[in-house]
Amino acid sequence: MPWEGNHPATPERYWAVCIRAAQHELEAAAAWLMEFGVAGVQWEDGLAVTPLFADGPWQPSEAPHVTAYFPQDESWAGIEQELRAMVIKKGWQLELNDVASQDWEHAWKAFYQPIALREGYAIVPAWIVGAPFAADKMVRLDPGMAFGTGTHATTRSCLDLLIEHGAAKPRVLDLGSGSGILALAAAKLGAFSVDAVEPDPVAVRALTHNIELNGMQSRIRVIAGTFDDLEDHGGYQIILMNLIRELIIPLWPKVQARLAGYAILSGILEDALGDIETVIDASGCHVAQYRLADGWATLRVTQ
Amino acid sequence: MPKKVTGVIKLQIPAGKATPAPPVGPALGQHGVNIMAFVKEYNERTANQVGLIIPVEITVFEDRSFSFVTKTPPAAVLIKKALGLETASPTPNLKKVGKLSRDQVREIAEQKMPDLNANSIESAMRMIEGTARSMGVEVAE
Repeated sequence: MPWEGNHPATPERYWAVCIRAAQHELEAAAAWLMEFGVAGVQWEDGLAVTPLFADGPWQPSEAPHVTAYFPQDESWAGIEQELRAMVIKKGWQLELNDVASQDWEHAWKAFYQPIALREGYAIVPAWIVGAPFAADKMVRLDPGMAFGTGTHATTRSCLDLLIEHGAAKPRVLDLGSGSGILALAAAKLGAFSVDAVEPDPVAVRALTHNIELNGMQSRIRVIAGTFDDLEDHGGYQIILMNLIRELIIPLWPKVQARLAGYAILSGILEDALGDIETVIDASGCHVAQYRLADGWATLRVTQ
Repeated sequence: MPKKVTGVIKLQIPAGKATPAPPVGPALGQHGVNIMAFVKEYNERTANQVGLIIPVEITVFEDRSFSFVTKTPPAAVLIKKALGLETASPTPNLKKVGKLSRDQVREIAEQKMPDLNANSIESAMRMIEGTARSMGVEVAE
């Protein structure tokens, strides 16, 4: 028998106990489930939420319920009896689902595979070894809390345009770096220096981590702040802005003044395209190329 | 950073003590969310509230990146804490396990106010009273 150390053995199976109750009774149901010593509950109160940074309110599709997980061990029979008695008394509904234990710490990684880009470049999750790509064309990434895992249409379109056009030893500005995916790709393409600007402190941590993962500390400078925090006042051969319309429009006049090459603008919903084009035309620049994917537009803008 | 939401996950977990085990693992895993990134960040942000259950809302975006906000502890947890209760009543209608004063109800309502869908302290207090009654806790008139 393998030595288990001081940790309790992970149960092989769980019962996911779902209690459906009226919204105003959910807190009591959750508190009661917690009294059995479970490590927490998942719940849905059915109320809409407006997440930070989101494009609008989120309306849950499910009716109010609370779920707790119980190991399928010798204690279960007694717990089940208590649960059934309680829900009858309360007029709640009980659902049991058989759940196999997984290596939850790592199972989510199956959602990420290497992403092959044009001309041999690739985005490769940090934990994958032996991916069939040349080391100097591989961006290593730990997908986490920051936007830019490589799976989104806007990120893909930006990467596609960036690789297609590149530039010899350019200076690059990446506004709203997120995970750093675009800044890293620019560095791999030969950028002399990249200024990666990111205001969200959580994303800054992810960005810094991913830069280290790729050994690019000497080429990419992290600016924890906004465009106005840039200390350098020189021009940039490439400016990357995978933002949203509401940020691009007010920023563009300031950004355009620093442009000494081309800019890639993304995060633009197709119905916002007209607004962006108006602002670009007014600045005397023009759109040299469009990429449309999954309802999002990506533009390459030149002077 | 276009932020299209693909899911919102609501959990109640002990401050500073989240692990990849259920309910966190199955809840986040099915969305392809980096579980250890969440666990570390949650434990760090809630480290000064150890001993309390903290609700958290995790928003998952289109590219599986995510963000989260923590909320005030559930009313039931604050009620038990105010009365020093270990458990709620198994039969709230028959067996009362404690009694909250008006001041205690007000205090909990004030603490919960940022997260309650209430437009006045009075309506927040009524919500707290409702939760108290469903736990077998009386409220002073």
